[in-house]
Amino acid sequence: MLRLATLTTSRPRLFIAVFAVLTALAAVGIPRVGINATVAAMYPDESAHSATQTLVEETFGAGQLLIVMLEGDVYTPAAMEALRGLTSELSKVTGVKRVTSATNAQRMEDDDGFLLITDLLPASGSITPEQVSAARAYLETARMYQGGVLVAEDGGSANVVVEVDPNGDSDRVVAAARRAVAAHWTEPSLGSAYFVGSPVVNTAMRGTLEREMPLLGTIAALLLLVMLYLNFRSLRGALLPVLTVSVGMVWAFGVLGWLGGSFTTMTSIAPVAILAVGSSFSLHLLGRYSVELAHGAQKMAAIRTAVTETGLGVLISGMAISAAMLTFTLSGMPAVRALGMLVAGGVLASLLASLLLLPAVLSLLKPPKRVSDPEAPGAIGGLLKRLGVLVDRRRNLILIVSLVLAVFAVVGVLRIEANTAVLDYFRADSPIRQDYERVERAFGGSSQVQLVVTGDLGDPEAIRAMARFQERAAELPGAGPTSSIATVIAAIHETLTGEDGLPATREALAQELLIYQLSGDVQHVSQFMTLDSSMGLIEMSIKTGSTREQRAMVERIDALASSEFTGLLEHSFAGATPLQIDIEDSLMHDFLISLSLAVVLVIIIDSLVRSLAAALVTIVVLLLTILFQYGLLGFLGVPLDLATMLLGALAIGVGDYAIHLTVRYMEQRRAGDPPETAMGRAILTSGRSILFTALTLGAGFGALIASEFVPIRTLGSLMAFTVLSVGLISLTVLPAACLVFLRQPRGSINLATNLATNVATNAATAKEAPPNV
Amino acid sequence: MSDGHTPASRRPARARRLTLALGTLLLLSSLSSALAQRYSTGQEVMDAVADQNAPSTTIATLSMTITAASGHSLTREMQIWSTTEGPRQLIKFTAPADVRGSGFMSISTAGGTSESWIYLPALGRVRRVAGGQEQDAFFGSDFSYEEISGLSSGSDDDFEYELLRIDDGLVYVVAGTPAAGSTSSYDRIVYFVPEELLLPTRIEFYVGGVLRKLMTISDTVLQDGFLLPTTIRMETVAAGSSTTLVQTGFQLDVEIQDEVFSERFLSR
Repeated sequence: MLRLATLTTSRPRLFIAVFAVLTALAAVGIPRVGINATVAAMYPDESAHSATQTLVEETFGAGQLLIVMLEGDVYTPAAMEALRGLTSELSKVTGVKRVTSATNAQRMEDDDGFLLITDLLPASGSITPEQVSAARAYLETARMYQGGVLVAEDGGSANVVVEVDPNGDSDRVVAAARRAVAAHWTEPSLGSAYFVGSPVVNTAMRGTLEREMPLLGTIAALLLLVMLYLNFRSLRGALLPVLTVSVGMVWAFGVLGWLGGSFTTMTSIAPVAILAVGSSFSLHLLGRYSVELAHGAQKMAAIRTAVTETGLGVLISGMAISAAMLTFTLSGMPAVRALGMLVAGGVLASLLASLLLLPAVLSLLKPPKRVSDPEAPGAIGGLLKRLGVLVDRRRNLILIVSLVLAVFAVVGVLRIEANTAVLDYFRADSPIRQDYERVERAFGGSSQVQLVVTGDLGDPEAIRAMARFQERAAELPGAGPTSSIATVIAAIHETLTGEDGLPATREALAQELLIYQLSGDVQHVSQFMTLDSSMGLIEMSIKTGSTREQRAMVERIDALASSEFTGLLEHSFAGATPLQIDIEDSLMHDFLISLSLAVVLVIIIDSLVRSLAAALVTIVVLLLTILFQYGLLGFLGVPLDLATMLLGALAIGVGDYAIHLTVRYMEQRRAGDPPETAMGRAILTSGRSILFTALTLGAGFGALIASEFVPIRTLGSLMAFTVLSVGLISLTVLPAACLVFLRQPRGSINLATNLATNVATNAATAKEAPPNV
Repeated sequence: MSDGHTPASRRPARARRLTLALGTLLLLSSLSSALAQRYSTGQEVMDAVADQNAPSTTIATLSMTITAASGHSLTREMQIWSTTEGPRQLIKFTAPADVRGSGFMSISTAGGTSESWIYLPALGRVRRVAGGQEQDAFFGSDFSYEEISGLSSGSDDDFEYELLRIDDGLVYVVAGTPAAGSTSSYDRIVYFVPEELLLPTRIEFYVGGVLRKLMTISDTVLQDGFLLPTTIRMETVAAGSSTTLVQTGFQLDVEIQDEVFSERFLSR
């Protein structure tokens, strides 16, 4: 570290130039960063449902569903003409595969001896009241449209079902749908329009992300500046950490852009995390620099001492955070991997800038004329001193209280429920949630579940099994309408024969399908069954809810399908609901793996320069904090979601600044101080840095509270709680634990030599021992 | 009739469409070799296409293979009887086995009305059919009745034609745009008409400047003085599906008994 410090301070301009060039190169990549806020961006690699979803899209041409619910007295000529205009306009929008409404849905009926196969209403010209009445009579009785698929049973609202190309521009389609509604659904007698479905969710997420990324970054930066200014009481002290962390941000996002990456909902956490964590490195270095100057050291000597002694801790702390974040790269979800790499990259770049650029800049700047000694007696010093005494006297009580709180926290943890439902990213009073609630109130369900069935669908037994399954599935609580080729065939059969049933023979089935194919195009006739009758699709809608509720529903549907299809058909799931369950399973896996691996990595990295025992004591205290964190989730009824699942590993890495106290304590022990004296001094000397690191990190992560995404906001609140808790626990429970469990200094032999040298140097130069400790 | 339909008003749509569609397919068979003649306008080219002679009766075997974007396909074979008198057409499905014997018949009258019937052996009775739109697909294929009707009819009063260019090999490239009041679902159709055939061998269908469908005639045969297209493929570009029609076994200008176009023959 000393050699590094010497190098950077002897050739500062070279280092500054290199950083400037690299940062400029990286900055060019930033505009290349795209935004991918779709739910699909979160699908796990190994998701079986994702593969089935692709199969469904390729085989049945099924797109993402955008449903527009239009309120008003639907069964009037004016409303139907408006609906027809809207349907027609939407059909022409690029990215729309198919639009179905009450106006263009097919009618098939026996009309006075004629087999009538036509659209429900004429494609052009005026619509008469008689035509509306006929359409109403058909919609209210036809098997294919029962359950209010297209018009609510009370006639008070209608659905326009828009199938959107999954590879198309959903933003454009949603915007076009809103424009079309504004243009056509204008009669005073007509009511409001509500928009639901994956394209709407994707558009809302993208819009929110675009608004939030700069907003949250700015709030975090401002809060950090305030905290840094309060710590250093100088503009320079506030701006220099922002400079180094800005370098880290530009490098991380520049590389992301050069690699063709995109922002996702997950990566919106990254800028704030990099800002908060990255600035803490410079905070520690500048703190030590100020101490050295205040104690009379020359500028260059102060810089080298700061880099040599505090820099080592900063280096290890940065590596620990990066390692914790890199555990996310083991995730099965590309979005989580990207988040891990982005934050780890940004933190490492900030670390480099803190250790190389900051000393170079400081060496070119004049030392401040007035330097306030961060460790000088004052309000904070007095508080820390009293804290040291309290911890010394009440160490056992502190540990017992912590243990009791930990038990309570475990109770809270057991109460946690997982819920990664994408809709719950939005606040309950957000327009999108309101729209979903309104649509589900009118039509029962709006979450999509698809069953792909494979087998011989030319066999009437198979079709009968599908019909039985649908009938039983529709009776499940929370189930909405279902449809499949069995629904279509039953409707045709009833029309042709007047019987409520299904064709009995293979020939009858094929010939009734011929009727279905009489006027439908390839996409229409294969939307429920492949042309060779080897595969079919059953569409279901279920009530939106938490992933726990949706999982239970899918399990019930699965059991039902297994009982009905045995020996006839194989089935597998696709659709938004099963995919959300996959996301949750993958996140749960990530949660366990990343948290446990982060703990191991941080212990290993911490113990490299200190001692395994010191690392263990520190990490146990940190785990205690995380236990409190998750316990709080349980008691507050906050679900384990997309963001909170990642909280553990993030907190392990970010909270590792607690180790600064252990380091200082170990240094003093090795210097010969008895445990109580060593801890008192450690609290007094490292306490301020720990306190302000906690405040700085808390302020940075606190910016996430301004997010519109519920999980991100929860993450912000909890991270702020965590880093402040780590700060508090570092100054209370950790010292108590050290005094009880870490009375004998131990460590690596080789590194201990370095450590001993550092301690000796420190002892010689700092001259900071409080007289009464 | 709850929706205001009357037998007279419901008759024309499907039957007329089918009549026109099948007639068009058979008309394609009647196109003779073109004269070595050049045309200076798009209208002249399309008029020349429309002026080709057609046999008065045609019997043919049609194989229709529909292939979805996923690669799943369905092939149906049918026998077609057609006469320009009426016109009248009858289709009988011959394969696969489960639809064998199913049939469809349409008869137009001099008054411009038409009627159609369907027979399904499993039901054991003939049913009259009504309804449908010009834009509807032709038996679940990529062809619509409108497209098949316009295939070889050449000049259409609903369209205005413009000669875009003449490609190598004397292929006229003609753009048709719907005239005011046209009910066409396309806003531009581009025909590629080789002068030696006077038969569009490639037709591009556009909506909003986007190519929606592409039809190609890849094989023809000369029989009894008529140039007969034997392989016609229609591709729905965005959906990735396609339909290939293969016509064989032509019997042209042979006498077809009136009893062929009857419910009795349809159900036989």
